[in-house]
Amino acid sequence: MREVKRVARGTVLVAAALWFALSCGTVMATPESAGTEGANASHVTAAADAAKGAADSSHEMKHEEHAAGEHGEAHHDSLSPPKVKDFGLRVMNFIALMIILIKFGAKPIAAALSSRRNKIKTEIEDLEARKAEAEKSYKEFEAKLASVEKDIDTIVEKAVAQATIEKARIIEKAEQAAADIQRQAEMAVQREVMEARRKLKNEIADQAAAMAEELIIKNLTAADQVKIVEDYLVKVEAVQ
Amino acid sequence: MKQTILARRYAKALFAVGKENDNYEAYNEALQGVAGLYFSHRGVVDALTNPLYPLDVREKVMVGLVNSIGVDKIMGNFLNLLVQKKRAEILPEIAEAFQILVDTEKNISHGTVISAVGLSDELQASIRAALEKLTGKKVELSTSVDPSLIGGIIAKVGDLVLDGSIRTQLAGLKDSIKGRE
Repeated sequence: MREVKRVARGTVLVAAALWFALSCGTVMATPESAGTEGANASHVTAAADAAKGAADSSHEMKHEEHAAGEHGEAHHDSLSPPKVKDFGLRVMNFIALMIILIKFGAKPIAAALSSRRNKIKTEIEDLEARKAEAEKSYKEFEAKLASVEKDIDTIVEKAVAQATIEKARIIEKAEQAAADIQRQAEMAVQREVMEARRKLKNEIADQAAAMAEELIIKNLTAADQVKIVEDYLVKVEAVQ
Repeated sequence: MKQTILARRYAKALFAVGKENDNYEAYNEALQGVAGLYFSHRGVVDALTNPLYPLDVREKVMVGLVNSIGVDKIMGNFLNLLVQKKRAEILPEIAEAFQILVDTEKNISHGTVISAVGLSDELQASIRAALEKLTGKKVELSTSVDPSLIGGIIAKVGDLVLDGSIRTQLAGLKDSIKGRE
């Protein structure tokens, strides 16, 4: 809001200066000042009004030629006292206006410009600081990137080493498991063999006993029965 | 359910009295006779032990029994006491315990001989002699036949067991074959 006010004030001052310049030009060029004053005024106007631009200048030159052609005598009366007086008043008016302008417009304009300069300076400093910070960050990230690559290499190396250890461990474990399985299988085989042998032996014993019983029953006579009892009694008495 | 301890207590008491009177053999015969009735006549057991019958009726049955077998007064009182104390059902056990006491007193052991075939008297005498020699007591043998023995004998006297059967020898042979590597 303050900035807008300053700009508006500056615009008003500029407009006033333009108005003054234009009015001066107009006064110099007024025909009613004297009979040939129009030609003189056109000289003053051409000299004073630089703001008119090139177009106006060419127009004035033509007008001057035309005035020179028609009123060749008028050149000698261009600084007549009324004109000088009018000019003096205008100058005073201009000076008063300039004083007023300087009095009331210098500080705001200077302040606005100073503020603008400060703002731009601050922005430049801020941008430079941010640039420096960005550059610093860039360097840091660059350094980090370099270190990250190094870290990645380290991690990969560690992972490879760990994997190697793990591989060795797994292989060792697998070998141990294989040995255990083999031992268990061997034990199972031995057990099965022993069980089969035992069964076979039992079967042989049963068969042998059955065959012996059959043979004894077949061949055992009454006399044998008596002899068995007697022999047993003899054996018992002998043991006693 | 056998009342062995109780029966032995009664038997010991009666045996002590019988030994004092030198009459325990007669008591033994009477007890064995009454115990025999328990096995041969189930009605006697029922009449003496069934609680549905009044006690005086059961006592009268026992009195009648005592009178019929003609035992002395002590034995008669003993049998009546069993009915009064409601111990008539353990009379067979008492008779068995009394028999053991009598056998011990007379140094007699009862044994059994199981054989695959019937044994001759001579062979039985030989077995008895061998058993008497082993136990140091007079042995009374009872015999039985079991063809599954195949041959030989099994003699039992008290805790002593003599197994000379072919069946056992074959079993030993079988075990020795099985047990040997």
